[in-house]
Formats: sequence, C-alpha cells, structure tokens
Amino acid sequence: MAVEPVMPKSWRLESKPHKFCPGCGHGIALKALGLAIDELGIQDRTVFGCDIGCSLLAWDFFNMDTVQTHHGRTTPVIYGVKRANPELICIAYMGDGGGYAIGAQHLVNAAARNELITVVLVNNTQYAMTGGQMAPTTLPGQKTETTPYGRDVLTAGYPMRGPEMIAEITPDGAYVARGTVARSRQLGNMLVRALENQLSGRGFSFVEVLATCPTNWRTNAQQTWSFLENTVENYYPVGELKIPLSDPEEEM
Amino acid sequence: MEKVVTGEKRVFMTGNEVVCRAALAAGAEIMYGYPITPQNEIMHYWTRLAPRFGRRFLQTEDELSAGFATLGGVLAGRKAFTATAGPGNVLMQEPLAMAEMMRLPVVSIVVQRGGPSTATVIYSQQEVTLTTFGGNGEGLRFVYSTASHQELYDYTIKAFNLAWRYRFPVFVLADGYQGKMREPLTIYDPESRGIHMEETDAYLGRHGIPGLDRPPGHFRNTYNTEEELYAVMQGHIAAFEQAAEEVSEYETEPADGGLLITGHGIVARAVQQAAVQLRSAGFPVGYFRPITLRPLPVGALRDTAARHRQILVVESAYGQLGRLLRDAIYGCPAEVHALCKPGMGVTAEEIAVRAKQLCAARED
Amino acid sequence: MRRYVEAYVGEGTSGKSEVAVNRALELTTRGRRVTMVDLDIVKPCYTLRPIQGSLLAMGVAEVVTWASRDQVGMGETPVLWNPAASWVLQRSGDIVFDVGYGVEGAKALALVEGSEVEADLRVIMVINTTNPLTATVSDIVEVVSSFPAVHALVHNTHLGDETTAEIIQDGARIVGEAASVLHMPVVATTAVAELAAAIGEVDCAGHQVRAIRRLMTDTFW
Repeated sequence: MAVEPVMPKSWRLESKPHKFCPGCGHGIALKALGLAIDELGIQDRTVFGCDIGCSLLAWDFFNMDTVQTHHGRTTPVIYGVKRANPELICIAYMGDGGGYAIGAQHLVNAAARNELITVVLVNNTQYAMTGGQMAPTTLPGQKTETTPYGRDVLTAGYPMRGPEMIAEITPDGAYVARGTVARSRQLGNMLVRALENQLSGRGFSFVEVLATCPTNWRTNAQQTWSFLENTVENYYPVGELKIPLSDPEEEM
Repeated sequence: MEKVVTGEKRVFMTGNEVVCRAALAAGAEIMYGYPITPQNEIMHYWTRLAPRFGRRFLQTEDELSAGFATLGGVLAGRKAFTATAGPGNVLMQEPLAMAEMMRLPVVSIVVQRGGPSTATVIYSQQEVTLTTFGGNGEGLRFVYSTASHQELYDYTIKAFNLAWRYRFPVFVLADGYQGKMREPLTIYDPESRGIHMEETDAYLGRHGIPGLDRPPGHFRNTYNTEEELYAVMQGHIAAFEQAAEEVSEYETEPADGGLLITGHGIVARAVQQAAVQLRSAGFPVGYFRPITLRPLPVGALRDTAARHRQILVVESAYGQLGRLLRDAIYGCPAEVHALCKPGMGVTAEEIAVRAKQLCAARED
Repeated sequence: MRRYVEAYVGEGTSGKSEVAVNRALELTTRGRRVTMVDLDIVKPCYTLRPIQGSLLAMGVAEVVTWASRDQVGMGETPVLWNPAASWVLQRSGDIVFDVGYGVEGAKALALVEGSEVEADLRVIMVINTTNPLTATVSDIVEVVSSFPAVHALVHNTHLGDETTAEIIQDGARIVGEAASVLHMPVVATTAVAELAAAIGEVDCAGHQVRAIRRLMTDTFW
C-alpha cells in the first residue's frame, strides 16, 4: 500500500512538487508553517509575503493570498497590509540576507515598534539564490564564493545573531525564537506560538529557522545534517528567546 | 463621521494642506510617510485631520518602507498614498518599480526640492527625469505636473481615480514653492461635482478560503525567462499606450509661425504670463504646457510644435523637460532653445526678455 | 509708559506675520521703540528674514531674526533658534513676536526667557475663516482652546487677492460669535486699506477695523 505523504491542508497541491533543491531546508520550514496555519485554522485570513532569494520560490506555495516583494522589503509590505487591514494575519517570509542585511532597517524598526506581524527568517548561512556568497550569518571560517579562504572576521566582520538582537529591542509582548529544520516538531510549536502572538494582539513575533543548503554548502546528506546540527546549531543556539510575560486579556 | 467637505468652499491655504485635504476628499484611507522637507506639512495636516475621518497613518523608518508599506496598503484594497521629495524620491523609486511591474494603484505626491543630492529644501524642477522614468523599468506611470493650488486639489483627487481605474502608479509632481505658498482655491466633495470615485478591491485577503472557494491570489514581480517577462511587459505597455490617449493633458495657445514657449508646473504660470504680455505687445508668441509629463501629450505637442518656427523650453532644471520634449517632437523643423535655471524660480520678466531676443534674432 | 509685548499666533495662512508686522509699524509710527522678533521655528527664517532691511528702514528699532549670511548649518539643518530671541524680554520698549503656525509653533514662546511671568505679554491669535481649520464657530473655539494661553483674537479673514468686504463681514460674524463663546476680546478686524475703508470704522460684529498694508508679498512664502 502506497503511503500518501502528509501535506498541510493550507499547501497548494497544484504547485507541488515544490521548486526548492533536494535537501533544502525551505520545504521543511514551509511544512512546519503550513501545519501551524492548519492547527490555528487561519488559512482563509492569512496573507503570506515572500522576499527575493530562495524564499521567493514560495510565491505560489500555499492556498493563501501571497505577494512576492523585493529583496528585504517583505517586512514593510506586510506591515503595510496589516496596518491597512488589521483583520488579516500577516506573515513575512525571508532569508538571512533579506532580514539582516538589505532589509535590516525594516526588521529592526518593525520589531521595535511591535508591529503585529509574524516574521519567519530562514538562516542557511549564505546567499543561496545568487550562488553562495557570504551572508550576515556566515560562520567564522566558513567558505563561500566571496570568502573563498573562509570568513575572516577581521576583514569580513562577525556574523549577526538576529533573534538575540530582536529579543533585546522588542517590548514585552513580543515572541522571539530560533528553531531548526532538524527538529520540525519543535519548530512547528514555535511557529504556532508566534502566530498566536499575532492573533492575540500581543505584539511582534519572530522565528529564525536554521536551515540546510546542500547545493551551496556542497555537502552530501550526511554532511548536510552534520553541519546543521553540530556546527550551525552550536554557533546559533536553538530555543525561545523571548515569550510574552503578560497576558493581554489580564491587562484589559 | 464628519464629512470631509460639504458642498463647495472658497478657501485660503498652503499647497501641502491642499494635498492633504484633497487626499481626504478622494477617500484616501491610509498614508505612509517619512519626514523630508518640503513635504512635511502634508503629514502634519494628515495626522491632525485623518483621525477625525477614521483614516490612518504610519510613520515608517525610511522612504523605502513608506513606499513598500503603501504597496501593502494598496494590496489590502485600501486607497493608500505617500509623499516625498528629493533624496526620498530616489528611494521611492524602488517600491514604485514594483508597483509598475505589478500594476499597483499607488499614489505618490512629490514636492520637488533642489538637487542633486541633499542640495536645498526649497524648490526645483529637477525630479522630472526621476519621477517620469525612475526605477529599473519603462516609466509606466502617470505624472501630473500641477501649477496652482486648485490643480493640486483637482489632480490629487484625479490621481486616486486614475490609479485605481488603470492600475498604474500615479504621481502628483509639485514643488517646494507650491507646497509652502498660499493662494485661494475651491475645495469640494468630488461626488457633488459628479466625479465618480473608483471603487477599490483587495488583492490580498478577499473573502473565502483560497483554493476551495476561490483561487488564491498569487502576486509576483519575478519571472523565470525572457519570454515570460516579455509577454507580461507587452501587456503592460499595450495597456499604458491605450490609457495614454485618455490620460494625457495639456494647455496651449499657439501663435502660428512664431515662437512657442513651453514649461511645466509652476514655471508654466510664468510662461503663460510672458506669452500673454508679449502677444499684447505684438510679438508672435504662443505657449504649450504639458500637464501630464508621463504620458506626454505627444500628438498635440507635435502638431503644435510644427506650427511654430522656434521653441523655447523654460524650466528650473538643466534640460530635464527639454529632453522629454525634444524626444517627443523629433523631426519637427522648429529650432529648440532652452532657458534653464536649475533649482531657481523663473519669472515672467526673464522669460519675456529671452523670448524677445529670439524673436529679434529670427527677424535679422 | 505702558509697554506692549504682543505675540501673534495662529494657524498657517491666518496672516499672523502680516498682522504682526503691521502692528509693529503702527507702534513705530506712534514714535515708540519696537523690537520685532522672529519666533517661527516651524518654517524657520522665511517670513521676516527677507524683509528685515525694509522693516528697519521703516523705523522698527530692531528685528531679531537670522540674516542669510549668519545662518549656521546647511540645507535641512540650520540652527533654528536665534539666542538673541531668548533674552529679548530684557530689552526696553515694545516687543512684537511673529510666531510659527499651529500649536507647536506657539509653544516656541516658552523658549523666551521670562515669558511665563511677563505681565505685559499678550498672546493674540489671528483668525482667517477662509482656512477650513478655523471656518466655523466650533472650529475656532476648538482650535483656540488647543493653543496655550491666548488672550485675544484678531480677525483677519481674507482670500488673498480675491478678498471682498463681504467675505470679511461674513468672517466677522463667525469670529465675533466664537469670541463670545470663548469670553475673549476681538482686538480688531484687519483688512487692506481699500477694504477697510469700504467697511468703515467698525465691522458688522462691532469690531474695530484696522487698515493694514500687505508686506508679506515680498517674503519667501
């Protein structure tokens, strides 16, 4: 008997199989996100925005209204939607370059203002779609197309720890976590809590997802998981960095 | 809720306040903005008046954000707008290129300041090239260049209607003089003048479960192949060309065989004044003023240019209008001259002096 | 001799500067020593700066504003506040302040040392009913109440070159009614000489009519 793969209800079957490379972390991240949306029953009022880079390949991924924007600009488009129609549940999906480099001012200000949106940022430690250049998240010593001898922190600078920064600059009410595609159930729970934070009106929510990129890492299956679970997760600790202290209903 | 304007009213105010009141009267629901002189008072008045009418505002972190958030507002189905100037207009071109690609009805008010770079906060007509053809694209946008407070009011209302009717981004191109100066105008409720205000509809967040009750709205600006992009662009260009006929506007009073003075925006007022004075003094001088800089009224411009022996292009920039006009009238035998004062106002008197010289040279 | 210390505040396009400058000139022609002070930090240095020379030529003792050549800073960021304005209440003679528009503009008075205890200070709000912000009795009452400590009103309804006696009289009725709700005096109705003559010594609401000259046409905005 053939086993049907479990696909989230909110996925669009017509656009599957998806466009990501084999072994790419995006598929797992988007599955966890789809299941979270199913669990909360919000597919009919969720708006999904995706960035430039590999995240744009999600532009027809869901049976949800979706807009693909410019590099780094998904955050302002999505908070623009939310401000104009607060009934909608708004998700901005982007890579590490979009969130921490070219769109850093948007992420920082949206977080500090406590915009009622959910940002999901996929960290695969380099710019994948443009061919594997250094990203703000590239690890010290890691080889990329623009750090062929390994990232030398003295010349190329240090990596960015995004969730730590976001946790620091957000007011109480924000939810900040770092998950990994190596533990998709934990990641799914984080995404549910992030979306619940928006649903309850508590505040900004942010989940960084550590993800694999065998194509640009030039790794086989075993090496891919080893790099993610040992090296990457060692530099970027997984867990919840900020959970709202207060319950908005009690505050009322 | 309070009505924005009841009936018609003759009023006295600054241009920036006029823009704010026109946006309110046009039913604009949300403004996204970032401070830059000389357009700040649009935001000042909007933040003061908008809550009375249940309208919203967000001050963003820069003009990129203001522009992209405005796209978000439009995608949510709201009449959304932004306003900017100078270096802010430069940043605004990135979101506006996305609006052009996705045909999003975004309204932007540009209150030109001096350039290049930070330059002055005061006045210029140096944002013509940027506003008509900015961004990585083909300039598929409508640009109104206003000359008076009445026009600021009329064309701001029109901008919202045209944006939603044709689904192209629309700019109202004013300048620092217009923003800050004051003069009387009539404000009105558009419906009471029989102006039908276009309905909006949402791109994102329509009713029903996507994929079940309706197809999901999937909007993108990225394409895989040249052919795919080419087909999309052919559609956009055809729609733009078709709209151009209906959208382009101008004012003219020709003087057959004589000198045609052209200018746009506030400079057109000086042009018109100079032309009227010179004609009453017996000089064969006419004028042509494009109201839409994009699309230009090419047909009327070519016809009018062909009836004159000389053309004088007057602008507070170094040939930005001149390049648009020369391109439009290419092949016309009239000699084209320029009076360029980048970042400076131009008076009717100095135009008249130059026009007389040209008329005299022609007779020699 | 009593000295006049008057600050003219109001909404944009009310004609604050025009009324303030005319008042300064009127006091000057009565042989008084008048200092005019530019307190406009909303649209800084644009109103009095261009006519500084002509005001001095017409006998105003001093004009505290920036001269273009003295402006510190560039482009967007000139130093807005002239330190001389902070200490201007120490000077002898009459003082007329031209204040920037709106509530935020009016708050600039707080930057003048001693303004909070100056017994002679009169804050006078200029009202033009053709500005929709102050078009009706309730609008005027709301706007005046939102300003810090206004003592009196000047009625300056006008439509630029299109002003008629009728427009002014319509405004006079509205401003008169608002003033009675606010329990505030209307110091005068101001109008250009020709229209002032047409209206007579008092307008239909009983306000003194004061003829003014239009000097702001020579300024920046």
